Amino acid sequence: MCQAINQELVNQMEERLKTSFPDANFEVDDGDGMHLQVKITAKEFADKSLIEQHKMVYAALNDLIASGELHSINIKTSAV
Amino acid sequence: MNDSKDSEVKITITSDHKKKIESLIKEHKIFAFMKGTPDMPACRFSAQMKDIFDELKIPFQGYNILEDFEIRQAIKDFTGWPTLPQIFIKGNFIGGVDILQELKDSGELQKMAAL
Repeated sequence: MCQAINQELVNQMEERLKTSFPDANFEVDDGDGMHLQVKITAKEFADKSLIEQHKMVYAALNDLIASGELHSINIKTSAV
Repeated sequence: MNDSKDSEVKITITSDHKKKIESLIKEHKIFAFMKGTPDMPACRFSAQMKDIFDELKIPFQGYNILEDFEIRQAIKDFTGWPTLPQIFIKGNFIGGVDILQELKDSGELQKMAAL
């Protein structure tokens, strides 16, 4: 059920995040070796609730989630 | 509608789905839409959620969306949140397991569940 980390997918995620959060610091990695993890620090998160922050990350990755390529990620956000 | 290449059947959220979701989150103080059941979570994230609640001895109820495709879609429309599990405390959506973990680490979860 768990597929090997796909470098192509990681690259696509990084592209999407760069587009949505141009000045952010972020890192996409494979966490425990099986599941993708996004850590992102962005000024866009200021004054936003955690739910809103996570929704913004999901929105940036929306096409990858909708296509089923990406279905489980851990997200860790912080505001600058 | 966006033009994503979503191959899943699109289900329109009906007032029945909405009512069912609303009554579940109203009737249970802590409620999760999850893969599997509270006793037997069926994915890593739902298991992680259970571990957090178990560690804090916070009881919760859950709805197994693997057995109800319509609610599985409807809950995502309801909250605007694309992944599972989805956790509610006293009728309020709090997010997924990453947020649950952060709330636990900050001590906020214990307060939210206590009152």
